Amino acid sequence: MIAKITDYKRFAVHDGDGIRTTVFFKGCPLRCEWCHNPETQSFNTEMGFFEHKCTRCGVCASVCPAGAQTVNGEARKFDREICRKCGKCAENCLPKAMTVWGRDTDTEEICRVLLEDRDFYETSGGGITLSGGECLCQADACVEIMKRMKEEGISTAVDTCGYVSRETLDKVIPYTDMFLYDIKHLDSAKHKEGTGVGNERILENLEYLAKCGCKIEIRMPVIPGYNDSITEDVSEYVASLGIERPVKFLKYHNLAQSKYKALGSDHQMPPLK
Amino acid sequence: MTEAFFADVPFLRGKYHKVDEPFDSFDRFAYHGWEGAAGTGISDEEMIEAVKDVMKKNVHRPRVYQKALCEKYILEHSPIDINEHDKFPLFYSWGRLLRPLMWVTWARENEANKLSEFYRDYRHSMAKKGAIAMWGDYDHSIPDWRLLYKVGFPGILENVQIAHRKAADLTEKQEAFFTSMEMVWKSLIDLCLRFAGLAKTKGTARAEREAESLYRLAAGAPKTAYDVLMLIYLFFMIGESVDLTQVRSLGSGLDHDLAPYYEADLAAGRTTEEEFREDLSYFLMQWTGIGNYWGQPLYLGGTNPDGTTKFNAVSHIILDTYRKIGIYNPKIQIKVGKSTPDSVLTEVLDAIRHNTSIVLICEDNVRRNMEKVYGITPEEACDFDVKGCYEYAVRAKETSTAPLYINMPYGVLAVFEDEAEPATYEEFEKAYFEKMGKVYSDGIKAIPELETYTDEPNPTLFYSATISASLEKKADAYQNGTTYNNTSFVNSGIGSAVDCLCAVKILIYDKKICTYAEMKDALKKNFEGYESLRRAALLLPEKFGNGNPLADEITERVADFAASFQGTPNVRGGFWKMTVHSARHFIIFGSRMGATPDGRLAGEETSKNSSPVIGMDRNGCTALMRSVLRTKPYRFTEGHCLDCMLHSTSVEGEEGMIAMKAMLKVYMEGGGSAVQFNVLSADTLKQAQKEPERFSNLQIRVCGWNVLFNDMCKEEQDTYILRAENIAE
Repeated sequence: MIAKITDYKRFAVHDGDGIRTTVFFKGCPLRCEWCHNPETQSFNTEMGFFEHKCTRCGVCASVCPAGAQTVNGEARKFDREICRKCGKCAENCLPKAMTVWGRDTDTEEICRVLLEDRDFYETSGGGITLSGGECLCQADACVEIMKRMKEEGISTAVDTCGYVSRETLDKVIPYTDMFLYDIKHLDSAKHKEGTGVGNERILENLEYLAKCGCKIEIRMPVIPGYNDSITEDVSEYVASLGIERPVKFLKYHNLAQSKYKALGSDHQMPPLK
Repeated sequence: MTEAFFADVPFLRGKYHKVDEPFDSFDRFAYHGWEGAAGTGISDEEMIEAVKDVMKKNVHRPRVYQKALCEKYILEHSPIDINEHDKFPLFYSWGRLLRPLMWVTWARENEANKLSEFYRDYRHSMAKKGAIAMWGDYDHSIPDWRLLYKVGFPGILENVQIAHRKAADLTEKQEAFFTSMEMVWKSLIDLCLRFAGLAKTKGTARAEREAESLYRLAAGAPKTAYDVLMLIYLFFMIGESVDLTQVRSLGSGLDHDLAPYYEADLAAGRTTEEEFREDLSYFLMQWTGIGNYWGQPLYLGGTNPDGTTKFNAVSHIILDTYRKIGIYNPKIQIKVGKSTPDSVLTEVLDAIRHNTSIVLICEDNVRRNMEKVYGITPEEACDFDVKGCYEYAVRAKETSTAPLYINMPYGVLAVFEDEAEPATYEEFEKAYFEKMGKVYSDGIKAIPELETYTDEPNPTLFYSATISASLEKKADAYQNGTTYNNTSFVNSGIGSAVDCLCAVKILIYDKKICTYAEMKDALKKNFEGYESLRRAALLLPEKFGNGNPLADEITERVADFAASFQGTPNVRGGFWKMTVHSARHFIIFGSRMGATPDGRLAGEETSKNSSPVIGMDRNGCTALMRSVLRTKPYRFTEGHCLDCMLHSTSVEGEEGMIAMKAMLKVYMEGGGSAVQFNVLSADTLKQAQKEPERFSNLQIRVCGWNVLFNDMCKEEQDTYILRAENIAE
């Protein structure tokens, strides 16, 4: 089975217990204003161009079959309109100014990579984490991967925004040892304002997971001026669901601004304040 | 720590450096020091002339005797001081002036008169090509510290005298060996008295305590923990700056060595923990003051023969004191293993993640391997010394006298120098091993010539007297005087060698991106006109240290090949040991070597220690650890160290501690030898900002988010650096 992923992160120590390898899936139904992985929002393959890393060597122009790359002295242009996203430029770019975000990858290959660090998982009580983007938008691939991991005795975690169908959750619950579940806001209107969608389905799904007895860690990005005043409410709400693990509050940083630029987006992340 | 200590830190930092002379931290004997007290000794110029005169008048005598006469003169005429800002005496450092006069001169004479054309050709022409480097090694000695504590300086002198009296039918050289040792050890005791006498005139409580300690050391064995520190300091200074033999550990487990003295001091009310900490602070600061690039190691921890841990209250005090005074030299090594309590591991790893530089020795693996290779008892194995950065020795019984540095990627270029073109990659690899095999075997043939005369350029009068076997054998410890008289191969650039072989296989034979002749031409032209080939080489995923299957297979074969030379008998009844590290030779070899198939340009450095080539570590620390374990580090009897870079955010908090412990456990259980975790500092990040191409894969994890450092714009990087600076605090 094929999954579209952007990257792996080995030695991930903040994505569940112990040392883990995290897979970032491409595509997300939310559009959070503060999103730090904007390259995982679209479900399509995208090109990243980090202009500040470009040395103007011109190799990309010489290998690009579509003529999307132009380098003329210091003048440099990347034409996204005609780019075929074949990745030839990225393959040949030494300073890694060009990158492909979103590669169709066989789940067998993903499992192979995930199994590489099994010694580290076993020693640290760690495992693998499926993240993104919203990994559950590719739930069948998630099931395929986690099934294999369970066969290998490796702990699994799903990092989700929760904006998925109940059926999707039912599919993955049997193979998921832990859910890393995001709460952005308790007020649906505010939630929509910050992420593009209301929170009803998200909270319903959370309550369902809690009722099913799933192990859950709630994570909340604390965005100044948006949700920083409701952290106690969130803790109380989470406790009321019988979730014992304390909420993990993630401090906001706007360090992903360069990735927006690399995507050709002029989106401005909220200020730090 | 007391305010008095911190007030004295500026003085201690300047203790070993003349303010009017530049200081070269790479030249380990170069430090000089404060001027001594007026009237206590002669000037540099007078000393040089006097030593020259002694050498001239005694040129007909055995070398060892000439050296002893020089040393006696130096010890008697060196300016000294007892300073109110210090707890240890000032002894002028003479290595800077005397090494060229004595050791260097004698080594040159030796090479010109006694060594063969084959030796000279191997040493010089192969060095010029960037294939090898070799010299007599007087840098990795550790005296029998426990014997020194037990009998003191006078006891060592007495041991020499007894051995001398008992020995019959001595040759002229042997007679001179004993006479010389007696002469210099008497001078050392006289020097203690000179120090003590001067201290007596100072009239301060601190100087009075110093005087009492020095009188005790002149009369017998050390009685207090302060005496032990004083003894270690004096032996180190005399060893390095007069005997020109570097003393490479402060104690044989400083914590273990000091504990009984400290406990007795406390019980008798002779000291307090506060005072002991202060003594330690002044002691440790001596090496910060000396400040040579290589650092001065001292090790802590370990396991007792009954399986219990050697960590004790003093281990914690030393570690805590070291952290509180915020220094990095002396450098600390810690023996960790199954016996190490979890609380100790937490303490040590916490120090590391807060930027205390510590090398962790995987002692269970080292001990087991030493038992097997040397046939020593488990008790002896528990006591192994760390006689360098991560080189190991049987305590008080072993020297390795001549390192032969081997540049592992050299063989790749040597194959390309031949006319013949290997038809397959397998043939190429075979030719590589043949070329390297010749480098190793010619070294095995050449080094014995040097080792036959190890005691000629630099007889080791202070070190040898502490080694019981040396007295029994009537031979310098650096000649055949220890129980295990070994020789070492130092393998440099394994990462580059593997990358080169991978590039040859993929680019020429598998994917046929270029022909053999084109690669040969590209190397000759330093890739000029072959930029795309170079780029292809650099972009290959088959690189050392990334968990890449092909690269890991080649790594295993290269390591196995090097290891196969271990145990080869040397000329002194010992055997060849093997280590994988590079010191600074990854720069030196690189500067002498042309372009290589992995895309490295002529003159550029090769890979360092067991690390990947800079910028080629693409899959993080777990992949690196897996790849390095394929070399089977435990079997390298002279040592092997993994440099593992971690980012400060990934080692923060409880999660970070669990991760660090797991990394260490995997490495220990996988057969690791030593590991140094480098928690990235703000300085590293600043460097990454300046040289992004060298840190293209530096990945940063911020509160659950994923970003490459170089994907951030400058302002963002600045923010991150600021964070890292805060973490460091």
